[in-house]
Amino acid sequence: MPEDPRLMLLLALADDELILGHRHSEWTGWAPHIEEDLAFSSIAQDEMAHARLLYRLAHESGLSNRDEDALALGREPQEYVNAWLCERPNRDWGYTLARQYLYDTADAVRLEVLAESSWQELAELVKVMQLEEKYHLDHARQWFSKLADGPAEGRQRFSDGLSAAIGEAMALFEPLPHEDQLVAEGLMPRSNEQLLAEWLGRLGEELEAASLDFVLTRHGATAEMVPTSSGDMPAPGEDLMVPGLSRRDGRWVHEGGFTGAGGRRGRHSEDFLPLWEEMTGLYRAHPGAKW
Amino acid sequence: MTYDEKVAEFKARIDAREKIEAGDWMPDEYRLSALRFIEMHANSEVMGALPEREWIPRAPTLKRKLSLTAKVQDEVGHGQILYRVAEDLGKSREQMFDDLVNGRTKFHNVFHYPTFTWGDVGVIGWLIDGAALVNQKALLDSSYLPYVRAMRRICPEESLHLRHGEELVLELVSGTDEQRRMFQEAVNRWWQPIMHFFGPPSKKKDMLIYWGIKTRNNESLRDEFFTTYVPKLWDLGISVPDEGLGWNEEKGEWDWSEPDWDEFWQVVRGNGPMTQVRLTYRKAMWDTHAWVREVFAGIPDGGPGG
Amino acid sequence: MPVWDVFGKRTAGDDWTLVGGIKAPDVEMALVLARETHFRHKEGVAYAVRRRGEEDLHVGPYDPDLLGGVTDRSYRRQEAYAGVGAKHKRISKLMAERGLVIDRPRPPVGRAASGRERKTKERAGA
Repeated sequence: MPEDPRLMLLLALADDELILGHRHSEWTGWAPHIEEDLAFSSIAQDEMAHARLLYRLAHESGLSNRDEDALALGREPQEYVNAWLCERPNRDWGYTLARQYLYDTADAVRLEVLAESSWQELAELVKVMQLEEKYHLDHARQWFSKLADGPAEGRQRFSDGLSAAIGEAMALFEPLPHEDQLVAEGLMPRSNEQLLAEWLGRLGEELEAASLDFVLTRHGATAEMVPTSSGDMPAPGEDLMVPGLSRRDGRWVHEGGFTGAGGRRGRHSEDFLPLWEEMTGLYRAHPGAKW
Repeated sequence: MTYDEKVAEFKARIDAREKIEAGDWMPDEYRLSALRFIEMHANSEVMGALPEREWIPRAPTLKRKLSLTAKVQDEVGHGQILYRVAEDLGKSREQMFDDLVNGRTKFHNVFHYPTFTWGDVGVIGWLIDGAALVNQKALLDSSYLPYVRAMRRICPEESLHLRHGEELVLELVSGTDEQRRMFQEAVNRWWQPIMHFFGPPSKKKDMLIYWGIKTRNNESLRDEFFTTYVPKLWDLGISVPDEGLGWNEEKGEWDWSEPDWDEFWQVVRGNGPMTQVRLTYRKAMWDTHAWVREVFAGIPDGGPGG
Repeated sequence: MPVWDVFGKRTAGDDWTLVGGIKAPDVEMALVLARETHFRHKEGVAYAVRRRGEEDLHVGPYDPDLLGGVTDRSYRRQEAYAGVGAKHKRISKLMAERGLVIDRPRPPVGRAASGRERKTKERAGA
């Protein structure tokens, strides 16, 4: 685990962007609809380019003696601190779009706050990233409305995707190691818990407006029991809420643990190792080589 | 004017090197020749994306990961541009995809082969793109103006890919012994498909040349490829697996060994090493995403899919 | 699915120029898709779409500096590879010093690559 809180913050952001960008890039060349292939590939490239800038900042600010490639491709699996949401395979287009929507709306909340970070270089980098994220949000919302208001099958696939992703999306806001220090020093002007509350408020509104808020209460098509990090499990016979999610005074709030917790501490799902092997194999097979 | 008179007048325009626009009257033969040729070109771009996209997840640096993604994106973009041109000649894109994934139409031989190492990425990015660029620059003189416009857009992007590919190769040949071997081994494996790429010996009457859709024959394009790339390979100490390849000063052209054309015909007819695997993937993607087409078709503005 | 003609302006003062087309189900999707189909390489400062058969031009909502990306895109720009020729020369020199250059007959330096010699054969096909 990075000792320096600033490095922790950078790596959490960068690893999210790299790993999700890696997954998005797997659609390049065969996405449905050729013009959409081009649009989605740009989004993938943006995420990976953002990761690159964040790794570069980590190296150039002296927080890591590893350069951007060594950080991106040269660490051991337990050193990556991305959220589980990012490492999951693409499954189908419905899940992919649901994940893009959830990630980019969450990322928007995160970036809004980091644009005010006491760390100047990071704040400036974030402001540049936000300019590109605008397109990601436009893209996500376009598909959201097409699928939410469209034929039954498309709506079903999108809502299934949302159901499958929402729990792990919340874990994007799992508290970071050293977070107290990050908040105290204004590096993170707000805590992850506060960011999560903000995101859930916005998300709840958008989902309700599209009559998709049921994805927050009906966790998947089948009654799967999902263990939470707090050890609680929904009792049989109740509506299966997404673990960690509650409704209070007409608002969606986070209470308790997270599905897919542990990412920020280098503990990953079963999907991370195969991704890591594929992504880092060639780099690691030729130490010191230039490409 | 009778149909035959109109055709003769049209042919005279072609011979005078006049350009044909999208809305012009054209003989059915011209329309079909152009459509099939451009359709195959478009198919080749999207099928060419498949071997290369395999290396995006495995790229050994962030810069290469990004540039390879952008390159494959551009290949898809070229397919988009070319399918648009073909569509305006009278066949829907949906029909073209359907024909492609069901094996009814063709695509370039080189995209039927597997990749094994990063050396292959170098060969594809430099030599195969180089071969494609030789062809594409020649098509800037095509009689069909919408196709020429497409080439004007595609050629500069392809030139960029080429430079990136060459840079990638230069790193390999000046790198570790393993990296050099990786590239040499890939060249050895890909050389025959590259020779095939320019096409079999030209026929006496080539309809594409007759109508000015193509303006140069296969031999001259391959010869240009040799002149541009073989000396460079040799300067880097990379050999080519053809003992008979060498410049013939007397004839003013390259001597080379005719490859096995049976393999070429097998491949383009759908029996290449990766043909069925790749078409099956594409077909699975196409079928699986019928629901997306349904979403698009269901939109009031959208009208029926087509 | 309708075809949309896509227009662009290279610089702010230009007229709208047709740059190509896209297929999209409606105008909102057309605006999202046209951007990365035709303007991801900084081809212009503004873009617009028009559905074939209609008259209305719909202008894309992005500021000029957003088109083609804001963060470093050098990995897909010509300028980033300007040194490739020089690098090739340098490495060739290295190979020559190591005796690795392959010595087989090649065209004289300066001979143009394009097949001018082939023209007589091509006309036979006409």
